[in-house]
Amino acid sequence: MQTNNEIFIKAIISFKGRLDAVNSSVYEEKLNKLLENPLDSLTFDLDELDYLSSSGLRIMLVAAKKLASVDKKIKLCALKPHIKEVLNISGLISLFEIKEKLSECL
Amino acid sequence: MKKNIILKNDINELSLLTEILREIQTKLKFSDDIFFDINLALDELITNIIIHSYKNLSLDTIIEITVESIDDTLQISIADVGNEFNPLSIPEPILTLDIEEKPIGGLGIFLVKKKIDKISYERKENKNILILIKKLT
Repeated sequence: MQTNNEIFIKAIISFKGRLDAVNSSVYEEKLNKLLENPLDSLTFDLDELDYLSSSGLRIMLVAAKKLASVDKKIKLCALKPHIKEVLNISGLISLFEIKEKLSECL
Repeated sequence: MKKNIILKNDINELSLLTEILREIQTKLKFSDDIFFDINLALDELITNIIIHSYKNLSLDTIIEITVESIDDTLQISIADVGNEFNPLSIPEPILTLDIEEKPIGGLGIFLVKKKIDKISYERKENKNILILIKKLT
């Protein structure tokens, strides 16, 4: 009998409140742990993210680079206008797959 | 309206700063979009000071911020006692680079320049002073 031992991991991280210099390190730590696994897909659920500064952009870019090295793009879903604007201005938005709803990312 | 704010050399002071900016917004009744721009700009500049300029300085080293409404603008000055450093001299990031070449960081000051109408730097009395002007209408 043939067995298939391959495991596919689809990960979703929900960011809440503010992603700035005060709390980005907490997310960074969790993200780094997660990125040790071979991920089939990675989604950032931003529905409850109200604020994003360059400290937050930094960890998003690090994660995007890591996934790009295996030809994958992180999915960002449910971005609020301010969050989208910061990603736009900083020229990072094209590095991600933008989705309206979390259901599109599953 | 004029308000002086003193922040300590502690990244958690950013939460306090946000609270104070909310109070100012309530008083002057400007939009959430403008609040967001001001919050982001100050956040980036203060983060830079604490993480870089004040890295090896004690917790009680202060950053002085003055927020003043002049006509339909908000004028904000930020003074730090760190080594001479003009954040406006940092070269702008090249936004079109491929993901592999994109440097980590360097976007903070760029965001400030995009969000604030006018910004200037001076070195005075051993302090780095940034003056920001944001239109409120």
